[in-house]
Amino acid sequence: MSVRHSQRNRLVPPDDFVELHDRAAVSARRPAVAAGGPCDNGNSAGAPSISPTPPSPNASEGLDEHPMLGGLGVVSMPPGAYETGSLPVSRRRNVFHVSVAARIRAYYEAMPEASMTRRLVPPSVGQRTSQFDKPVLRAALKLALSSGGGGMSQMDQKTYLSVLLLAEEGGRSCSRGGRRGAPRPRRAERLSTAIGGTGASRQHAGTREPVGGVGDSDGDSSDDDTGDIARAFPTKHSFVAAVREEQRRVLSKLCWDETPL
Amino acid sequence: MGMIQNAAHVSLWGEQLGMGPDGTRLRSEIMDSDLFLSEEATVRRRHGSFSFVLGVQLFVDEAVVSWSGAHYMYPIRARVVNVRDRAVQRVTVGYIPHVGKPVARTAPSRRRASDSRNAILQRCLAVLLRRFVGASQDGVPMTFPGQHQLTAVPRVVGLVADQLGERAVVCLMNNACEFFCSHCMVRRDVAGDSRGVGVASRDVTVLLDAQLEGAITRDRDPRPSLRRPLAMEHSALAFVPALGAVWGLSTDNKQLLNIISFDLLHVWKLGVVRMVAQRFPSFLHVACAGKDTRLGPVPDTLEALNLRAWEMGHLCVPSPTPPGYVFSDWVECTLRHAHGRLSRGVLLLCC
Repeated sequence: MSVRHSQRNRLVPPDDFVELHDRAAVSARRPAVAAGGPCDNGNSAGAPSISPTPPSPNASEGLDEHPMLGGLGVVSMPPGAYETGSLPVSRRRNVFHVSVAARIRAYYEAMPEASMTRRLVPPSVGQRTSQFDKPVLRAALKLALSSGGGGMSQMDQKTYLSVLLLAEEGGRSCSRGGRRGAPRPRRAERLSTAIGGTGASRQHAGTREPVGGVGDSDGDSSDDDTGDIARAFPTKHSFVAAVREEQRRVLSKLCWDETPL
Repeated sequence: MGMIQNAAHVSLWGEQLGMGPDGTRLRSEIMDSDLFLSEEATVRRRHGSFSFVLGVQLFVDEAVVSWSGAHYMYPIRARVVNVRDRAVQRVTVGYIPHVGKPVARTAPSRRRASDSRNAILQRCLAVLLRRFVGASQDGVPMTFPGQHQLTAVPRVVGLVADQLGERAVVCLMNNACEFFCSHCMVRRDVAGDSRGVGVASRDVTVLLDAQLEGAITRDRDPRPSLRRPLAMEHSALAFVPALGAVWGLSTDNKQLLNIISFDLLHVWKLGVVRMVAQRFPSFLHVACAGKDTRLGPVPDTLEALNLRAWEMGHLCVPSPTPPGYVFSDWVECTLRHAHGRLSRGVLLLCC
């Protein structure tokens, strides 16, 4: 069979085949050859042959020179897996005559997903500081994530932030005794006052409170005009994004992993 | 570990309660149960007197998390029984993808879907318990403020699930099986009868050995005919339960089948209605004894019941919050099965 079907004989090593237990030695010698260093041709006594298989294995001298076993084709294995010339299978911890628990553990450790677990969120995300650093913000986050058991949807979170901002504005206007029926300043203008203190907003601000920019001498800055929620989340999208980011941050701190099956 | 170190009130060792007025032993919760105390004795014998059992209860509740269809998966929750804070009950420790029914209604497609469902569950459990398994064998050093360095030895002391979840976790057949009890080898035809009293318990080692051999065989050749001996002899699936790798469940006291508990609220919520509905036609046939019911013959009555159930369907939508989210008190109780065996149960009471 090996003579008549030389190309189909699985017992004969194919062309350019290097025995698996010799591949590490070959790969170690290749850089040396490329660098012009000393190269052992493998003919020293007692050392296994590391030269490639001759191209015509059907010759009788070829059969005498190379072993008949082997030649399983291209097998991608980790380097150093065949240093002892073992069988061409992955190196696993063979457990035969031990407890059932150890055998079950070995069975599942041999599954391909055992080494494919990775972090669900990168660890760098967990190093960031939380945007929900005030009690009112933490309470808002808690309600947004636990409402109804599974938390609010993104649309509900936007609505929820609107309600919070309205409550913040309304409480302040009532407490400061604004004139009933007087036009209320737009929230966006008040926010711009808080951020930059532009003149356009100061015209309206005079209807409710003394005009004052950031860093006024009396200490009544425009930051006091906006509450914690409005200052932290000027837009609805920023609140939604902050909630999502907080979820990722917590998942990173809890070291959640993901394993593809 | 983080849960127990951050808890305000922790109980490291269980103790046996005294006798009641009728002379029987009192039990109040899991920390004074026979299972926990026997595991504690084994752990202290193996790891020394400065060791304690870190008891974990697993909750497998196949309630799909997302309703929108974006994520078809269900959670696994865990509770550390040593933590006595009422604020922390159960923590979600993993999510398992849900494998739905196959589109094609053929036996091979059903078998493939069933195999995928069982394999994914076990492989997810194996990934989830990977560190737990090592810790259950060697223990984990832990230092509490003002105390010696102790060794925490994790043990699974409870698996709370309905019967389908229980059979899936321990890789036993769900239906069309001869031995439908997870604890003993009572046959289907004598269960609930006096002939079923005193049957032998399942041998955990033999069962796991057979399942492991069956799983290896199935990996090589998925033909169902090769699994038939396993099904006939043990009513088991050709999968090996990942929980069997945890120390103490298949070694020492071999508590794999004793940790099975059930959630009475869950059973009430999901199982009672179905069981009643299945037995209602027989009840009607016997109760009417050949006569008509108030709505006419028995088939007409059943049709009227089905119509009424369909009309009331919008009111019978189960709560979006699964039982795991409610604040609850856990009361351990001892229940006696119909075939005379004792098993532990968990009673869920809503505050």
